[in-house]
Amino acid sequence: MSEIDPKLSRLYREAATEEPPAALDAAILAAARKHAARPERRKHASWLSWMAPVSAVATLVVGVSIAFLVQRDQPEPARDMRIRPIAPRPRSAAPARTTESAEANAAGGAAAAKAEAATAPLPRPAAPPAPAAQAFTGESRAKASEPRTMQESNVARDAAPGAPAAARLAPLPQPSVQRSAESWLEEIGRLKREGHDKEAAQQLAEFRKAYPEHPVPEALLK
Amino acid sequence: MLAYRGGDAAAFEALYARWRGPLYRYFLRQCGHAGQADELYQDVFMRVIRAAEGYEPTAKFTTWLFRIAHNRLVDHWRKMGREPVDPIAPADEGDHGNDSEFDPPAPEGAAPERQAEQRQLGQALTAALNELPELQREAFLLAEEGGLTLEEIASVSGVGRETIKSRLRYATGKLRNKLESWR
Repeated sequence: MSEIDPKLSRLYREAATEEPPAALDAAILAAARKHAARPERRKHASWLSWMAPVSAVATLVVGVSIAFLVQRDQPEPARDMRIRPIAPRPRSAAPARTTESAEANAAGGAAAAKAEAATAPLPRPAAPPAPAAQAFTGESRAKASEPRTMQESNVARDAAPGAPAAARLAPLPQPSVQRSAESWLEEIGRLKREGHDKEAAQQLAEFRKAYPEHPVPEALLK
Repeated sequence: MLAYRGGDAAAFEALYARWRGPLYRYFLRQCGHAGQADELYQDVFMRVIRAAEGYEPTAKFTTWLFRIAHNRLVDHWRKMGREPVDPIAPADEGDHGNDSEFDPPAPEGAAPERQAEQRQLGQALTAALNELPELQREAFLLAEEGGLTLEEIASVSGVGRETIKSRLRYATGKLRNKLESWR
């Protein structure tokens, strides 16, 4: 290499003669032989080759399912508005069902009572806009952190993207899901592009621990 | 490595014989402590063994090996509460201004006094190397011990090629200055 003086290089190589202790050599070579001789090794290797595509498909399925669920719940307020003049009676049933599912997710008995109280006026035709309107008031903002009905959350999200309720519903990536190295790197790249440098650095550190041998693109290390 | 992945233990032994010295000296020079160097060295080879099953030749084996070593060293520094800084600053610029070649005494195997002088010179170089900032020393070691190119060192260290070039020039300049009295 032209940046290093060849004579300096020669001098260094003559001086650099240290070698690892024999005990270390023995331990490493023994571990390598033991690893090579493992009977399940080949089987495991073939399983590993399927791990990445299976993980990708699983991630896709979970993502699509969540997106589908969110999308299915989203148009309910509009549909209710259209149906109301034809069949006003069943309206109280639908919100009650969504309320129950929200309760299950939030796991809060007291919060459930509040949510029921919030949906109580719904049978009256003039009442439904009230929850949506509440999402904009300062009073309801204070309650935004409490468990709300799914319907209310969706209305709030439509009105104000980025609200806490909307954040809970968004199909966020699941860190616990087994990921392939490539998809993980893509996620780190996305975090960096979006300016979440701290999170990206944390993810990168975890990645390097999980995949010590996997090359990391230079752009992610800057 | 592919042969070892296929279960050929002898292939690993050949790789190990080739890289045991360079990798060990990389850690020894960077840690300055044999006990720590032993631990890091063993850990890296254990990682190599464990990673063999999923190994794909996406890079040269040496680059892959020293990248694992670099990651391990960075983790070690962080654990010790040290964050290596790149001290390339205007104040250092004079250190590598002398581009004249270093001219050590020519080796003359027959003369015992010459051999002793050569040994002392080697020791002086090693001592001078220990005084270099970590990142400059690492660039030098990756070039000398790993035989890596500028691009490969940049890839291992996670910085640009020009940064590595600069680090190497500073390192070489400082080593030359330290050994000036041996001219």
